[in-house]
Amino acid sequence: MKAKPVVILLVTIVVAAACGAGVISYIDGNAKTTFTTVTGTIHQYVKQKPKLEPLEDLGTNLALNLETSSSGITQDKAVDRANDGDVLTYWEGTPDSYPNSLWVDLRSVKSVKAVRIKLNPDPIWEKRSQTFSITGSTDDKNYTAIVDTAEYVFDPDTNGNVVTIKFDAVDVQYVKLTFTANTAATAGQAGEFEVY
Amino acid sequence: MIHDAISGKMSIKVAVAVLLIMAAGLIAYDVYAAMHIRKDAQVVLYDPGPLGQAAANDRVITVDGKPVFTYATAVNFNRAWSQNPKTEKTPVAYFDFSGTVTVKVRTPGVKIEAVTIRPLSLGIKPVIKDDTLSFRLDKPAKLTIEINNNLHRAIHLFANPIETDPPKEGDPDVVYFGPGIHDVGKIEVQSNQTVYIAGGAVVHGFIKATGLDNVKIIGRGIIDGSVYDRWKDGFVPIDLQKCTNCTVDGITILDPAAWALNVFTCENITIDNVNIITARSNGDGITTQSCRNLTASNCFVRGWDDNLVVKGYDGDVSGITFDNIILWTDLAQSCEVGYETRANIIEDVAFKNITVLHNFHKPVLSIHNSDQALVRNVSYSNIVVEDAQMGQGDGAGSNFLIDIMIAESQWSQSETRGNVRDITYDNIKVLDGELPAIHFQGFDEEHTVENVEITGLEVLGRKIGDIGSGKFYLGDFIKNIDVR
Repeated sequence: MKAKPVVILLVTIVVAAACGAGVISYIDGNAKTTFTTVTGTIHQYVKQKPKLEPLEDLGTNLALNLETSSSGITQDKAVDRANDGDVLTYWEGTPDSYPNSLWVDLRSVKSVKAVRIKLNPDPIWEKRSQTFSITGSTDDKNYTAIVDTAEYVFDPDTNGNVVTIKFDAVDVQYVKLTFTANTAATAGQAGEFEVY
Repeated sequence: MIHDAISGKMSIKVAVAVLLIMAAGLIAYDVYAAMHIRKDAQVVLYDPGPLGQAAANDRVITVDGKPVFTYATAVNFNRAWSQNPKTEKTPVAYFDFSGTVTVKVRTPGVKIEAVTIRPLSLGIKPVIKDDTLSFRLDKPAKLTIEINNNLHRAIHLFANPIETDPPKEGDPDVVYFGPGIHDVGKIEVQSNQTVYIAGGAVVHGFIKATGLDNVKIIGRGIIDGSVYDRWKDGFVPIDLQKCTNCTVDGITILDPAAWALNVFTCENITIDNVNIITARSNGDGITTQSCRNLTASNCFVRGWDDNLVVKGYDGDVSGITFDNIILWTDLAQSCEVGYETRANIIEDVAFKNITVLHNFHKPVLSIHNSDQALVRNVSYSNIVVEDAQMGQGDGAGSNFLIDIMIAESQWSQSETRGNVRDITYDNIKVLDGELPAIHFQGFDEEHTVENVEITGLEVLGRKIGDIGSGKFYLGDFIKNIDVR
């Protein structure tokens, strides 16, 4: 009979705990959620195509698809991308390792009178200046100056990211560009390296 | 009578015992329920609006009953590098919240038999009923939800905290991208400006910041690189070069056409709560190159190339910390120092509180010194590999949990090799998968791996307290390897 108070106490605890569970369940089920829903739209960005002068016809590109070499590359920007005929693929030199050199073997000595460098004409390729020299060689060892180091502006809005450098004709088999600065990247870049 | 008295006492004892058990059970339930009581919730849902691209309709996600917009982004299950690998889509969704919310996922037409929600450390055991699973969340989390033991179509769910004081459109020095689709291309930014990509924004574009100071790239929105060609465009969505005091916070980067987030020769950089999923060639996650004082924390990276990277391209490296990051390594390494180590010194690098959900290819924790650098004081602590599947595909032979190697590689440019010193591994656990090895290899007498300390290593349930009890491949020119 002495056990009765214990039983009563335990029954009370069980009932209280069960009520507690009910209260917790009630509170839990009554929690509120406040929603904010953000819905978007399509935003228009008008890209006006620049009016550019047509490129001067310089004749046959002597460098197209011939063997090119470079002092190094950035990531996957392999050297043969510089003269594969596709301006959207490009060579880029080793980052922060100026000078970066890029040269082409014309297979035999040829009369050369111009070099044209192209970058991707898409406006997302922003305006930039690249500083480089042009040298030539008949043996890939001894190079002489064709055009001294100068700064050239590549601007999709004004020149379609194309720079043409004409000079007095020289007889060379190898034509080399040596980059020493690029205001928009850490190395020289060439989408197409054309020789005429 | 005696029998009755005994019987009565027994009955009381039984009753007391039953009541005690009931009371204890109910009290335990009350305590548990009170601890997990649902709090009032605030939820912010983002719908990008007309997408022009297919969302993920085979996974219907709701939060407290409201639908969460679900994107479909590219992932890559190939385990061998190729230039143009075949990819497939997987669902991605995000929302912001505070309080306690119930997340439900329905898979129309597919009965759910089993669910794995990672990281496992969160202990989320969903309730499953027919084609629906549900669970509660009471704190921000980055989850993957694998249904019926299938990694394909795994859900990537980023439950963010509510944003505090986001900028408004028109605020000075804010380049603002509101909710919706933006075909913007290159995003122009100047020093002391904030690029804000709001939740619900999907930006087809990229940020290349060179030589800038105090730039913030923040928000909850997505930079989506899927519109760009891998080889003709190759834009890195966020590319910081020679910048100082910059922050990247809250942004999600999906399907970049190159590396995802590149930080090159920068100083004082904070990367927080960034989510990255890559699928195409060279899809490295967070790449740091010749940086000083950089911290990346609370991020998620699933990548088809190295997930977290420390390189020394141009200038020394110091003070790089990766903290509280979840990784899913489809290809290459999870946490890589190398291969390009052209700096003189790469030091004070810490990887801590990293969970690798899956690694299918190359080492989890690697130092590949293939140039001249002295790599020293690199620490790895509290690393959990939930599913170790390294060595698949062209990663065969690279089933390494830990790999330190000084060797010439296809990326080497230095004429000489460097050294590796003072590397610590503490509390490293592999929970499941194939038994991985630990590999150390120096180059020659002058270029060595020295002073490596491993403590608290546990692989597939077995504590590895000495070299003899683990799978160690110890090459030449290594000294002082201490396993405790």
